[in-house]
Amino acid sequence: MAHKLNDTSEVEERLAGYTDQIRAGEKPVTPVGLADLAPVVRGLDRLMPRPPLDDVARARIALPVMDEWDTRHKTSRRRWRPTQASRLLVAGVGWALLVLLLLAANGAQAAGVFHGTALGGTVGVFALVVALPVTLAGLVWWFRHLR
Amino acid sequence: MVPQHDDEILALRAQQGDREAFRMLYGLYVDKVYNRVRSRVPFQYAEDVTQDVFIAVIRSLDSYQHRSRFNTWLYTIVNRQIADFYRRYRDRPDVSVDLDTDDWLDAALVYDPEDTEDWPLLQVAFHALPEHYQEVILLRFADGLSFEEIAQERGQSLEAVKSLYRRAIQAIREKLNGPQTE
Repeated sequence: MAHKLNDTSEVEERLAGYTDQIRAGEKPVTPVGLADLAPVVRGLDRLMPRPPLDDVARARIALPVMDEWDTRHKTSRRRWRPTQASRLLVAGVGWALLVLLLLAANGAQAAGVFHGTALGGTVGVFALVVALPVTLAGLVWWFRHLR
Repeated sequence: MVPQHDDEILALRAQQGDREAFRMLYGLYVDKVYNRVRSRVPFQYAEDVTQDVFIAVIRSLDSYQHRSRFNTWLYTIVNRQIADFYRRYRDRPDVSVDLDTDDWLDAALVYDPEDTEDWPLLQVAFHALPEHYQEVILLRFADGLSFEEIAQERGQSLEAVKSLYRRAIQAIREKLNGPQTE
């Protein structure tokens, strides 16, 4: 009569041990309590054979892969990629433009250029509502998504 | 995240255009990727899909931001390429495994573990498992990790991994033969 295992952890131990033996290429006797599960382990062992690749197959796969690498890097060498310095430069120029815009609007308003018109307020509102958030969002995007 | 593992350092160097680093990364993972692919697509297509995986890695290497482990990122690409394979070859009669229907699971009721012709049924049953069950089996069989290494990889206790593995194997058996009656 087959011994029935009640302790789940005992089954787990035996199953793990049986799997290790199968993967090591041994032909172990199916442990007590694993009559149902052992065939699945043997099936998976066949499904995922080892060693999977010989040197010839490995080289056969590698050839187009490395070709792709070379092709891609030949063209990308000529393509400009953002560096840390260029990111800082763009961020600096962005901020400078924004500050200049605000100063110019403020100065123009103080000089009375917009006196009697709604233009001064419009420029200020534009700077605060549009230019500032757009610049901030742009900078965040620039730093997060470009390498 | 600062790269800590060898593969992540190699990935970083490859991102900077280091060909040798990429070649080493390829050498480190080609067997594991091939085995993962081999377990899920018909044998004759395994090399092609493996190739597609590494070409996809080259094309999207710049998007790897070192926020997750490199192998997690790589295996996402493996899964995507396998899905692409089945999308591309859906209507081809020579691809014998249609993972989009449950007919295979019905046929799996007659699964005979000693019959090597039946292995695609096991493949389909495996593919139908929840992601975490597939992962623990792939780590043990395709990647060749020991249970201790899997525990380390997943940040779980050894007992938890063995328990997960037992449940995964049991789930396959139930898909092949119906629920256990014992």
